[in-house]
Amino acid sequence: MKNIARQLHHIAYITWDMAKTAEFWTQVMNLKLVGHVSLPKVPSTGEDYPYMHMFFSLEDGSDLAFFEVRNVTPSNQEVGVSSALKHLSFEVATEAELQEYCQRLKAHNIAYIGPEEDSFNRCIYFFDPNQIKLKLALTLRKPGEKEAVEARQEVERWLNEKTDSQLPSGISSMII
Amino acid sequence: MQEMQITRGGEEIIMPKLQKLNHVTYLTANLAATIEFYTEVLGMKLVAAERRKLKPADLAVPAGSSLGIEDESALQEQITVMFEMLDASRICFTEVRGLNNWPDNPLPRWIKHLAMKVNSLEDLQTAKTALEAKEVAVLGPVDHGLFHSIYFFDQINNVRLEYAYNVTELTEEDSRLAWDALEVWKAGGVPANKSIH
Repeated sequence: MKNIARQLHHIAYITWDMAKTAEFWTQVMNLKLVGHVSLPKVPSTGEDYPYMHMFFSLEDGSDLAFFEVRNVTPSNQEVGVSSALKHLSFEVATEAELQEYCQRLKAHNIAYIGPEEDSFNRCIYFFDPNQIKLKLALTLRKPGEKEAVEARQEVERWLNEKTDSQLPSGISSMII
Repeated sequence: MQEMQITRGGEEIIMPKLQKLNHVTYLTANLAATIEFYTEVLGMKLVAAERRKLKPADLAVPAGSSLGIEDESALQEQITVMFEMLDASRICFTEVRGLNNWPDNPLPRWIKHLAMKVNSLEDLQTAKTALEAKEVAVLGPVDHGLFHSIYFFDQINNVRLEYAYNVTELTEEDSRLAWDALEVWKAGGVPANKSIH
């Protein structure tokens, strides 16, 4: 299949407090609450969960979406190592805007790490009220053909080493 | 409701905006199968792979939470593979050396998901046919009024995916109704759904 994914449409998470979520994402992060779906059942599966699904839009028209669901016991968004490594990164247009977000987070007593550079961006790290790890990213460069070619080689090396490391210790030297 | 402050200490400040998705990152324990699914089945381009040591920012957890791993020093190296959507935003998967499984919270499977925008209803049908030919189960197309969707899973990583086509756009009225609905929901009700049918 040819890639038909034009851009994000929406990405959905759970929340235990839609009011607090709406306040954070509109007042602090400056997204717009653009729409909602509230139903007593889930349309795609028919399950009996009264829910509120709210959509907060980014500048390109895509949305960050949250479900608050009655009959679902609150627990963490992600558990353990997933809460650190899984994350969501949104793009800012300018360095000045990145700095302004830093100011806003400080003003709301929200701790953040950075700005520091990842592979293609300058970014800051923090958590939303739903424990979602967020990055705000200013694009410094974009991956090109060189990165695409190197990606295959890098993955191949990684996978080959993995096979070795899965052998019990001592075995690989004994084989040799 | 959405008034932003525009001065601080008498100085006019910038109104920052979040433009678009830059990337979303999930965890994987099967890098090879993940690459096959996103490139061969979904047709996305593997645009980069970044191999490096884990940094403190990578391992930062929410307040009151922990990594749940006895020996954090065992988590040393990671590789992140990146697949690009047509607007250059990326879906990423990180595999960490030595990390083969992790706890998942027991939410209903439909809650957390990633929906990608497509250009036409025909794209949804084409994708359904192509996915089913690769033995990927597809739900839909589901008509949400505002948009139509098909749903399927990246079963390797348990990520619920969706392709969605907008048949119409939301209006200012939908925004106003959403704020009203939030008040009803806060008071314990399930508001009448007038925004997206």
